[in-house]
Amino acid sequence: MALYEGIALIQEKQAVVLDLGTDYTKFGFTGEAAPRCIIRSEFWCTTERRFKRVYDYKTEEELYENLVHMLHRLYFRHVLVNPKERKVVVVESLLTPTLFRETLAKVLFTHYEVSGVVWADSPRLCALTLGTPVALIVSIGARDAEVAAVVHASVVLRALQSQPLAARAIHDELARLLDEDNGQELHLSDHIIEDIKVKTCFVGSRERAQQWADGEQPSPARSVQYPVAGRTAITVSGRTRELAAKPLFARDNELASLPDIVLQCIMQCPIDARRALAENILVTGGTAAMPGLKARLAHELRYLVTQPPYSSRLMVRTFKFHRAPAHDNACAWAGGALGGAADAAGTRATPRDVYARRRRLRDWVCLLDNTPPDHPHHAHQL
Amino acid sequence: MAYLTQPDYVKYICSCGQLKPITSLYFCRHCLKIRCGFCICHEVDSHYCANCLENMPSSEARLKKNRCSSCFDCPSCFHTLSTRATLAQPRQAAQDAAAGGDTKVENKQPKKMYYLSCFNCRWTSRDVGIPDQPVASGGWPERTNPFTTRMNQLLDYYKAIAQQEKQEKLERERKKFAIRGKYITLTDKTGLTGAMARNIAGLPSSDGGSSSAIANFVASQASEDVDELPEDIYTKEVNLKQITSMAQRLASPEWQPATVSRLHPLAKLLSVKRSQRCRACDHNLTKPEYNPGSIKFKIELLAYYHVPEVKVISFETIKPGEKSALLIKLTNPTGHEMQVRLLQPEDLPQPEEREEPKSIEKSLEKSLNLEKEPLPETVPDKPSGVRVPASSRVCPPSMTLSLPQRDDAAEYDDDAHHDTDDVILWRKSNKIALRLEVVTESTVASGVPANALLALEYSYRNTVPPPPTAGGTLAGTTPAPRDHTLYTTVLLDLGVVSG
Amino acid sequence: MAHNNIKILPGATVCEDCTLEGDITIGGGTVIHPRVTIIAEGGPIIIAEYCIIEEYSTIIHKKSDKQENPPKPLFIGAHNVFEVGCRLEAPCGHIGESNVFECRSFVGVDIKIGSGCVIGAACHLTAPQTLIDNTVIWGSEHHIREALEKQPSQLLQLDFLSKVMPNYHRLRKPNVHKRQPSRQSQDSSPKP
Repeated sequence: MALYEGIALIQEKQAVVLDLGTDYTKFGFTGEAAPRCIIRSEFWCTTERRFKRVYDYKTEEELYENLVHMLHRLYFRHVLVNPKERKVVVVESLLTPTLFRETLAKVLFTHYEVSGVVWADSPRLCALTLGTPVALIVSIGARDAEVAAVVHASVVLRALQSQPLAARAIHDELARLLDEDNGQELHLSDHIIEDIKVKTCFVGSRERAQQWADGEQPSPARSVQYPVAGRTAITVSGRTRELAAKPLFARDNELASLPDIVLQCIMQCPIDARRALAENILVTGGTAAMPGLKARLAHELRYLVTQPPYSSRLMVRTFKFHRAPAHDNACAWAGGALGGAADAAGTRATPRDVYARRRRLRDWVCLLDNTPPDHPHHAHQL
Repeated sequence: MAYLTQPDYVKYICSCGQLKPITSLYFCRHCLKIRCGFCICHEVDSHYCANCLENMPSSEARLKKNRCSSCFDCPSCFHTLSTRATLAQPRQAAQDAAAGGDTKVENKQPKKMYYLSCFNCRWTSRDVGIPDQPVASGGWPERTNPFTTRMNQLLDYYKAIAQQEKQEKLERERKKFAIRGKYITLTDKTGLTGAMARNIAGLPSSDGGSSSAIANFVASQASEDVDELPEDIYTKEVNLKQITSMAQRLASPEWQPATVSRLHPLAKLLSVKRSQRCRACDHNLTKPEYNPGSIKFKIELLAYYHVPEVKVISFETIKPGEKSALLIKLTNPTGHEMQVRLLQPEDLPQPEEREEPKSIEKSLEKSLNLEKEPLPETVPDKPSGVRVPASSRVCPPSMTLSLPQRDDAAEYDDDAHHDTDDVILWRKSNKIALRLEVVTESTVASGVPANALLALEYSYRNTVPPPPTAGGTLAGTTPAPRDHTLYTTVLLDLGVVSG
Repeated sequence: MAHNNIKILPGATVCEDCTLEGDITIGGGTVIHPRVTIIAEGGPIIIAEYCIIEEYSTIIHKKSDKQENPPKPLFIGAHNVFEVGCRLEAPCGHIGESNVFECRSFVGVDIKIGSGCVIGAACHLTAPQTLIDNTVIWGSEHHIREALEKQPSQLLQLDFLSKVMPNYHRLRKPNVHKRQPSRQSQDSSPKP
């Protein structure tokens, strides 16, 4: 048995793990500790003569073409393997649009003829990198911040939270603050905004944010002169550096700030899992790498949980945080690499012939997939 | 011909419906169809380093993570690094003096030491404190991923769980235990492993002896402290030159250095030579030569060598409801005489139904999908030629033109055939220039891009021996070339409809 | 033109086929290729020793309104390299040592340049700024980094050029005579 296993492992080609993010794509082999490449999710479009983002699409056909080009770039420029007859682990958000999933499946199965695809959602994969039974995954990516509770290897779907509080929100705020600092509309490109964010911005402490909000002027951090090609240098004031990430923590009546959705997620989980969740938080995603963000989130959580409406309904008071064995931006990918390697036989993959017979994917929103097999509903099927 | 800097004025409609210039099209001699990069299968042929042009067997490439062992890229600007030699002063002089006088004589000679330097951004390996190396290539310190150990622990753990689950499953099947708990089934379907869930939930695993990997595994420990901001963040001056950009960080996904002082040379990523294969018949369309320095191909079935080429010489401005003249040039690239007839696109005979699927698996797919949308196997979902909007119609002459074969020597003759008439402008060697008329409908709005579809019927002499099953495969018999009549459609870009 | 005052120190290799206008001093060991334009309209230009000024490069000391009187000279330090087609427009009177102005680079008026800087190929610096020592600018987006050490000097190249140039080009003769110089002055030890 063991011998056969070994042979099977050798014969089975190492699967690839694909995390096609909004801004950055992570791609590499299963069983490895880091992706082979992290590149922008864009490709050179020969007809339009510009870099085109994969997520810039209006129709299904356009998306199909984008994905074909992007995967071509990944397979033949970076990872250098034949896509054919090789399994793929796709790391996806639970909230990926159906159109996107299905088009990706079509591209992988019919255009690249991969032998199987494992569809894996990012919260559970992030939890894999910890090995704990219960984990609360706070993933702050490019567009959305998603909070998902993973309890014994399944996601508590009804507690899933998602808000557009991520890199885009920070970029917009940063652009606004920069305009203020320089007294003119700068119209900086996304790349420059991102670069300014990466090089200068941080998330200030809760107390200081409070002081700024109250109109007090705490002594700001040093301002920075950021040189830009072909124009005068941009002033990035200390206030801007500190407050660029403010939208993530801005509270209003809807209670939709980042700490709020974390607490709400815990609150909507089964009562016996709440304490464990609060003590097993993993903050991940590219934006989580921003200096001070995790600390700020921790302080906000510890403060907010003592305030209404949470103080009366949520009895947890300690919050503990994990460190994943991967960089923040590749955490879900690393989980995919682990899961894909453990499952070497590919029992969880959708094989190509199955897809060819029945061109649909499992999805948690679909009743066909989330009804237990002994449910009477199945009697009516077929 | 595609132009390097200009837009493609003439686009061919590939058999998959894509519009491409002739230079990016292939021609399958076995299916006798035009193929493009979209509807063929790309394969990795061989790995090589684009800098040192060294071939690397694919097994070795896999081992080295597709990186060249002797070439490096600059971590700062991604340009290729060059190795530079310096004469190092014997730095051990002091030590030697202490050790004794004997070695002194030997060490007096300056030793050649090498370091890496970038000619673009002037980064050097000394900037980050990498010591100079005594050998020109290789020997540069390698770094290990800080997370590898933990990842391997996790990997062992999950592999053990998967293994255990498998055994459980086998046992269950043997015992014909069909009753499966709801809980397990659910997690099995959606979660990673039922066994893992069971293990985590504190249930005893079904077979008592769980492996040591599972027993010894320690899950990640959460802590109350998080990475606080450094104390001096509010007072420290920011030096932008010391902080890496996103691109610099992501160029080494394993380390993602945040400061410039931690940038290390990046081993150069290998490149691949690709061969291309027709999806319908599995024949190679291109196959490069193995030698990385060679840009030649062993097999090179490009449309440019097989399909008559259409070029626009000039045209009158397109006006709605009017006729305008169009001068085009046809070229026969093949070694055989070619009969060409211009047609309206709708006069083309309907192509025979979908090509034969190549395997049982696919025919199975087909039979199972009859009522569904056509499989995008050979025809990925693309706009078909019919949907190409054409503002104008070309009035093709109802005559068959004969194009002589390509003859490189004929370039030097200049006795052009003077059988010019209303349609034929001139003829030279394997080229012919035609004067055509373009009719534009009066309903076309001005300002929209003007274009016209033109269909070509051409004779093609296939010199490929027929497949072995069709007849004698003896080497001595030269199979008779077969003539085919083929069709293609081109879209001509005629500027903009004027008012 | 009337006030052209070109001082070429012994040891300098200055091709005849270049445009030199105004009050210009060229230090010993410096090599000026043909087709170079140096215009000192706003004040004198002093080029120190061991510079290489390649073909089609332009150095202008621009006139400006807030000019002091007498005009401050534009001083270009030693071991600077001006590559083919670069253009330098009198940046604030002083340029340090061991800088490299790569091909087709452009340095505008209000830019202070320290020592050991590299202005990358085709980089156009127009906005007022100060380049501190060992700054390297490259690429269309003007990436900036700080080098650890100064750019190595091009003594070998200078040596070669001063040997080869006289074989193919007419040269301007050094006209400042501290001592009787040999015409080609290979013993380039220009102690003024």
